[in-house]
Amino acid sequence: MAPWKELKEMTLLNKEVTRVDGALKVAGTAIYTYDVQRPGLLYGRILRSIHPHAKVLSVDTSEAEALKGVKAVLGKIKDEVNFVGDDVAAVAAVSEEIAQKALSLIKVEYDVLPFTVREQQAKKEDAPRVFSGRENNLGRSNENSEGDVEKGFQEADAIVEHMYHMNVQVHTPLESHGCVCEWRGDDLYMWDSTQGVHGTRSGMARALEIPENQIHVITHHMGGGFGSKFGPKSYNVVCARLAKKAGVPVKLMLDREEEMLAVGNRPSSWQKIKIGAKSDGTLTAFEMESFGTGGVGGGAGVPQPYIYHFPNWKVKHQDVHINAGAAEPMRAPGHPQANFAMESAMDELAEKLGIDPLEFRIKNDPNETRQQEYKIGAKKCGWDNRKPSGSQTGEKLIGMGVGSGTWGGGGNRRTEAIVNIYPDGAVDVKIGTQDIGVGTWTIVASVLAEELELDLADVKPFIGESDYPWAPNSGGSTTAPSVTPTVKLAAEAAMAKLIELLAEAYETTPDKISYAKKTFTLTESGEKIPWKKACAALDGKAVSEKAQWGEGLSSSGTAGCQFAEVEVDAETGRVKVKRLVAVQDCGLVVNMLTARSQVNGAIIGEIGYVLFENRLLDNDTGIMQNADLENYKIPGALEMPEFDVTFYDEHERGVIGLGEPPAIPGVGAIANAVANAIGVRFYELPITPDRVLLAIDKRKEGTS
Amino acid sequence: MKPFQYVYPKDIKAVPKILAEAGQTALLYAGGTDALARMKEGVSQPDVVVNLKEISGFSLIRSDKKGLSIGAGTLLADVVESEEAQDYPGLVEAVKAVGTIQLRNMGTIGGNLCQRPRCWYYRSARFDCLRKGGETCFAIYGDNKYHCIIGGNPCFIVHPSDVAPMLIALDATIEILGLKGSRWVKAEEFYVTPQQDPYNETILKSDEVVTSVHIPAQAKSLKSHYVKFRERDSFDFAMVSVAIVASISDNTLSNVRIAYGGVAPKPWRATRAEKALEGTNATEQQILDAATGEFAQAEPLEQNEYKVIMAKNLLKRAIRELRQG
Ligand code: SF4
Repeated sequence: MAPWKELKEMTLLNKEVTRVDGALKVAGTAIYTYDVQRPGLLYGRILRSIHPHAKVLSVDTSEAEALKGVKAVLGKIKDEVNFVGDDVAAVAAVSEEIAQKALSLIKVEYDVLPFTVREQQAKKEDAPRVFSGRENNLGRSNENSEGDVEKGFQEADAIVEHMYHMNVQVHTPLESHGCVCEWRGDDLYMWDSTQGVHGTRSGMARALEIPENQIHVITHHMGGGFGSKFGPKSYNVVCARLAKKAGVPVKLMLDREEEMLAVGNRPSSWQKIKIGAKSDGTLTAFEMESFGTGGVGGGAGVPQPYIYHFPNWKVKHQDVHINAGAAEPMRAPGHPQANFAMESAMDELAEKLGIDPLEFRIKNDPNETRQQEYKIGAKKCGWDNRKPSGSQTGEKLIGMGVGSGTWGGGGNRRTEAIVNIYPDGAVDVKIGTQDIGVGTWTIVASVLAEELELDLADVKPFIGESDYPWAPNSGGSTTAPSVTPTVKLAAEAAMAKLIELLAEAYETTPDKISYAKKTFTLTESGEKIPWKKACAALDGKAVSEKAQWGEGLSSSGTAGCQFAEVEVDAETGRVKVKRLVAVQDCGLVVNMLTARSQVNGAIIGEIGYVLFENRLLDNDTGIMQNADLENYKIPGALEMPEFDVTFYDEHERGVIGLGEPPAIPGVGAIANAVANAIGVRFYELPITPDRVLLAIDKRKEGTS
Repeated sequence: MKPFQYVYPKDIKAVPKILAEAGQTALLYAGGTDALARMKEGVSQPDVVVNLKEISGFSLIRSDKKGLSIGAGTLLADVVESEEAQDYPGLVEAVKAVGTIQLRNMGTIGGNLCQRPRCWYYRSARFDCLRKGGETCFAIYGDNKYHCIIGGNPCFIVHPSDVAPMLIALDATIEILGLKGSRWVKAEEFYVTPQQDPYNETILKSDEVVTSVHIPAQAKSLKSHYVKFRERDSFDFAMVSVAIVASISDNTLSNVRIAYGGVAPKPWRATRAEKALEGTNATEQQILDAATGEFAQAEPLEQNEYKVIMAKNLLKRAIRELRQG
């Protein structure tokens, strides 16, 4: 196995290569799940619970079945529904309108049960039960500690103690979940908007109780998932059953409301935090008691005490269920939550101690990479110009803040790829990964072309099908570190095989053939054999080499920091992120353009989390009242900051995933910048104009 | 969506009759940016949809000595672009503040004035609230951050139009056609409070349609300005907005007219503030006092006290910018 080339020898990797599927997307000809058309296609819809908690006594579908155009109906899907939006029944019809109409004809008899949609209430003993018959609403819990926390706080000269609260965020991919199912004999073909064609295949095989190789999952292009699309989900199974019943293909796409209710969200977090340090800025102790809700799911834990060094710490967490849709992983699960609370507390403690917040971090952050990144970021954002918190008056208040993050992002050793070289000179790679919008098509093709010293246009990537060799779900920032080494190794193997066959054809030995830039040279005679001629000489023997992931080309573990500059409008309370400086390591940057795009996207997500997004559940009905893109506010074009992205060069570590690392540090950075601007700190997200305005008003009253 | 009968008259005169025959079950459809969403959600379930897009002469902008006339079917984007409208800078600002460019390319002036509230309980078919004929207003104890601070009860919506406050400040009139013929009303009188009628936002009767608006010619000395604050700049309705018309000479304000959006169930003419500022230099303190007087009667709900502060601050901003402009 050869290492990656030297940076200066690379022609495609580490460069700004535009997307190989870019033209398709711009022209609108890239086929997303929504675009899939099949002969006789029907449209599926799911009837969803209007109650947050109820027993489903009976489901009468007779009228729906009698409706003209209805081709398949699934009665009672489950006996108990546990959130508004839970599955009750489903239909497939010749049009979406008829399917919708059919849903309204289904008669459901519910035994409506008490419910709770507030985790503060749900965790109490006397709270209504989220699941009937359970002892309480508590999910997983964990405890952990190191050192002696009591002693640590005794040593502290300053202590900060607060409850930090983040509400639930929804993934909001622009393309909603959905699939098209088509049975061909015993085999199921499923076009799905998923982050894992192989994972979805395995799950479907289990759910339908049929062999894995009878299921073929296809995802050529998809419009984002952010962690919510690790299939299969109930809609996949429902759609497959409807298609089986109807005997023709069925398309089942979720609408925006269903997307927000039923297929994932980022758990809330309540962290009661106590943190102490000595007057010289040395951290002495950290203590946290937290809870949070992933609705009927879990996963609300937070990795505290996050990245700083505390000799003494103690954490305790409790997951709490409420009657709301299940959480799914969302871009660095738990980390943004940990980051907001930790970075807010760190800043406040620094202020109490009279130490510059950046210096305070440098003193307590054991990570070498971040030590360097702090310096780069501080310079780029002009940290020296940061004004003391709350020192400004007037209409526009400027603030600066910093935050940090960490993530894993290593490769999966089970990953496999096949590289084919055809007698006509054509080259392709097949690997069952998927492009969830981040540029996987492009990096797969780039690695192959780079390795074989071909042009990008000379190679063809095949991805997004579960019939190709196994690759992991696109989650945990593992795609690039799994896929790129594997493609490289398969390309290496294919080249070795090609040279071996060429040696046979030219009656020489492989060590007497060299290769560079589409040309083979027989080193003894000096004869040059161009690529096409060489492949033709194979005499019909195509090269087809499979390789498995190998060590040494990728790593795990990232460090990053971000600096935010915000402008607060003191008359309206609006916070505008003017500039976001991100300094991030991710080992060898495979593609400069798509990498930067990853960081930009992550920053947009951070802005949404800190300033806009907030799932609202009505306490009396359990209904989400902002399950649409008008009232569930995600940032738009005018909310964009100036993005300033720097990759901290550690290419010698090989490829490391980048999907999640940059989605963390800005959360604390933006919140801290707001506190710096107005001199008031928020312990709750999102920081919206109404709250900022009241805070500014209160502060004025306090000072006048 | 419920099936409906679809009619598209060519002559505006045919509309009142169609409406009268259909009774309450007709829906007027112009740009459709609001109506279609309501139909999809099932909040509006008309038996008859009257498409106004093919009515001749419905889209027109004309200016003469008397002022500016705009046909109700005129696209918002066309108002922004039209040469005639540029003499009314506040109007152009207000129209430009509506939605996004895509929405302004579809939406009409008449539709903007007659759009239904954005209250999320109203918009969701799952809440049978008072305005839709139900028993309760869910906003009182629910999430009411975007609701009204004044003039509410028994319903606490805010009127979502950007154009309406400006028309009121410009002392515009609205032309309405019904079975009995045409009538003109002041823009201000076009809107009602929930106390007057909890089910409708305007005085339109079920056989009536808005056909045009007329803005009287403004004295040269008059300036107009619209300030809209939205939570998200890219696309949002107003949290609070202010339309102001006044003349300023030697720093003194006169002929002051002010109307707010986002604070009340109807576009809120701020007569107390107008009086307080008339003939003054409108110092920061005077503006603050004027706005404080205007909103002395405000009764904020649990989550919208901030609107009182915002309303005061935006008036300051509006006058400051009016001076600069
Ligand atoms: S404010 Fe009006 S529209 Fe909203 S819930 Fe109350 S009654 Fe209904």
